[in-house]
Amino acid sequence: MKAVGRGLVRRALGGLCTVGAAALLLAACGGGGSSASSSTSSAGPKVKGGTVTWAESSGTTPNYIFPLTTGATNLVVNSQFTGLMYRGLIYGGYKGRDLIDKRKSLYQSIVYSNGDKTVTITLKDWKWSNGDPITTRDVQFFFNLVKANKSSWSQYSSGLFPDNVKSFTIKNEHTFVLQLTQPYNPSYYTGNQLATIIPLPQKVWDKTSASGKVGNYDMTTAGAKKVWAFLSKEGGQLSTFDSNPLWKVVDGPWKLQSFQANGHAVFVPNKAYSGPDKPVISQFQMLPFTTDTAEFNVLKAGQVDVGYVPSNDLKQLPALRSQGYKVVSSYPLHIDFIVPNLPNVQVGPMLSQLYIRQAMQELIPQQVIVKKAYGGYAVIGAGPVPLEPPNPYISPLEKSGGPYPYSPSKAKALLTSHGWTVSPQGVDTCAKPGTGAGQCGKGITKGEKLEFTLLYASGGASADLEFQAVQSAMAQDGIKINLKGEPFNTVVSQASGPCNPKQPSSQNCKWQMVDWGGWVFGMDPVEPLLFASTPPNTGGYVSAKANSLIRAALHSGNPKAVFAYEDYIAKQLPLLWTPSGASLVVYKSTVHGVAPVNPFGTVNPEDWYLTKG
Amino acid sequence: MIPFLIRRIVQSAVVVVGVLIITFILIHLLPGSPARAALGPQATPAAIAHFNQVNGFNLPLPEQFLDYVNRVAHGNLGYSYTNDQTVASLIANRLPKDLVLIVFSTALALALGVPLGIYQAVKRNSLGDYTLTGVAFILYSMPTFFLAFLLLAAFAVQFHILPPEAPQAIGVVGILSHPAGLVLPVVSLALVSFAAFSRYMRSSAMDNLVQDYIRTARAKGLSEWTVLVRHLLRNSLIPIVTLLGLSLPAIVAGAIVVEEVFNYPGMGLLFFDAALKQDYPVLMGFALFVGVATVVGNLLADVVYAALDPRIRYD
Repeated sequence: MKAVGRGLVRRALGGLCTVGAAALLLAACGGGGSSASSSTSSAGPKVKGGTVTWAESSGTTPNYIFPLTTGATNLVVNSQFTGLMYRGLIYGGYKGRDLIDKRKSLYQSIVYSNGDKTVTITLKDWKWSNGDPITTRDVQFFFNLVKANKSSWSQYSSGLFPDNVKSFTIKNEHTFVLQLTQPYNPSYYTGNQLATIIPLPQKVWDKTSASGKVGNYDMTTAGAKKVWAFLSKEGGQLSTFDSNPLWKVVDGPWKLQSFQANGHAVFVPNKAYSGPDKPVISQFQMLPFTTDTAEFNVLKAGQVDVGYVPSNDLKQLPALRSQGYKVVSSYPLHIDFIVPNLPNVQVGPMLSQLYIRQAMQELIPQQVIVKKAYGGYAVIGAGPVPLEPPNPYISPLEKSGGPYPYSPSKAKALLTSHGWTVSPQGVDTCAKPGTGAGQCGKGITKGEKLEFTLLYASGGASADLEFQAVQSAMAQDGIKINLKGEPFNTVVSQASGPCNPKQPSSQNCKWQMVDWGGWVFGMDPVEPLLFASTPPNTGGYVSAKANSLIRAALHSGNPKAVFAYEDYIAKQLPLLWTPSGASLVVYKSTVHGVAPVNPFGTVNPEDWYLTKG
Repeated sequence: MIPFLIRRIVQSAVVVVGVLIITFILIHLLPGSPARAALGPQATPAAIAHFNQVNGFNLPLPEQFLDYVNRVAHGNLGYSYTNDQTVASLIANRLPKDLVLIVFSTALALALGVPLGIYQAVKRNSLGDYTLTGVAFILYSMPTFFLAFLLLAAFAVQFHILPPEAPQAIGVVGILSHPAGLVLPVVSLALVSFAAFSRYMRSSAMDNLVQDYIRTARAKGLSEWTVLVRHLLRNSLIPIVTLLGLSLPAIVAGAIVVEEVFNYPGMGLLFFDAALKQDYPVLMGFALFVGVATVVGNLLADVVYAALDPRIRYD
């Protein structure tokens, strides 16, 4: 799970390669999660070897090689970088879909028993690059490190993994057993909890200093803290990424050959890689870029093989195609939404009224936004489960477009029937205050205006167009939206949680509605944190029924429980659903295997090959 | 001169401390928190508390400032939590890029602007003067990013004559070993500065051409070349030195644009990103660096004044 900035979906994807992956839902998916298009085709013969260059997301470069990231190093580019060398227990993403790729995963089998309170996991007979087998001790090493250092580990959420593991038992070199504190929905537990496990080479890394000997330090909490501190420190030394013996032992398909502090990384195949899809190309290079502009300039000049199209440059897609590039769109398991600050002292009483949120939802012109702001490369939001990539969690209600599709007439009728004087292109006012039928509702005074400020993460043409469309559409029924665009980091630091009415002058009481770009899920889109009673539930929505439905979805194996949660949240509108943009990857027609793109942002150059152009 | 230098160095130290204090106050007036900016909206209260403790943001502000000053005094500029590197190493990696860019572009701008300014003054109101004035106005009114895009579109994308990005190597030697990559960034930055330098030089030279000492030099029978180079040039350069100091911020600002367009991660983008991400150690380190560079630059300008004009004395 991860929240993302608008226009930063692509960046957010890689974060999921460490948390994503779901299980057991495979058959229900239809259609691909990504699609490619091109005006050219390549027919040259396949080449063995060759170099492929790949554009890193702008403004961010690998700065941490230890695969267990901290909060501040939890960057997508770090996940993509380490993901080439270190593979998780579970590999999320199969043919562009929200599925596990069992072939690429390290596990042989995952069996839930004892009412879904016991998980028995067997590993494949794979090896590290130094020839050592990957064993359950390597998984235990990971487990001990994150358990002793959970406050530093980026994937940690209180009460979840590893808190929800009562015991970790090694049965033999290939099988271990997790005893859970309570039953979990296997799909959720596999996709969002077990997917955080990354076996680490205990025989090489279990040490507390560079010159110290390898031991079993992780078996005590104090020792595990020292090991973490050592590995974490070494993991941030850019100048030794390509020379430190620690990072020479890998289990992924790639080994780091060279690295520059500016983020330029060169990988070569790990010849001892045990998994399928051995690399065909002989070198893979990650190229750093200061900005989207710089990346796109280099792309247009034809000096990068696989890159991306920034949202500001969607109109240049035809020009890229004419240059011989292919374009593939990819949807992460992501929803986007506007968060209403329900306890806000000034506008909270209005935003807390479901009928007002419903009217606002019915005034968001999602189809227009998809077409005009995203050039068709977006999908509408209908509820808490994304409609793309194809996944089995989408309820029939969401599939139909959600409970509140765009309808200005319905929105107007809703407001009028609740005592508002509707003034198209003006500002609606409450004519009938009170809590009875046909009245505005609790805390709303006579003459109060239906006017809100929407803070959003700007920086891209799509975002600006989207919110101008929202503003314009709401104005037709007299809901006045004042737009305030700020950089992503400014937005999230200003709207960090719901207003506490007892501290009306605090920062969190200054924002009314916010859109910081939405949320990317693990492989299972049930997210307990999104509506929890503490941050990161930014809007302050609290509902006993919602909590009970979430618990049922998380802890029971009944798929209908997910639908029940999903439909309830879709109707209650704790968030206003907005379209979710795709990431657009472009690649030269001589590079093959790029499409479909992994929906969790993992880069797979081991699947790529070149043909003569 | 020595007492003057000592006085100026003491003044400079006071200015730098003042810059640090003001910067420290300003960055703490920014809305939100660095923890939230660094960890994102998904961060739990526990993660934020941990972050604040690790980075010392849980301490009172005066204590944080004194701690910072103490560390700086010991040569430690702090640690960037968004880059996961020391501020010193970030500056060490980025600074050579800007130095190369600014030195080369300024040198090119001066190399073009000074002689052409003198030429225009000497040949004022001629076709050449009008043409160069027109070119200067066009370049001067052109935003750096626009000029950069034009050059890029023509020479890198359309004709593939030059690389679309600046050298990616780290260190001056590495950068200079790829001179082709430097052409477009340097020219983009130099052409805008050149326009200003040539206009000032023309004006300054015209003022000096009617001075008695020029008439005297010509009356003595000196060649026109000697008059222009030995007498006119030296005296006309004084306002250019002032302009050079004044235009340094504009050159640095232009460098940020060039860094952005030509994929050249320098100090400007480092500061820009740090401001967006509320990376306090980098912001403070940058302010310290710029503060020191500015006072040193001013000091050097004063010394250059004295060298150019023997009438100027600082005793």
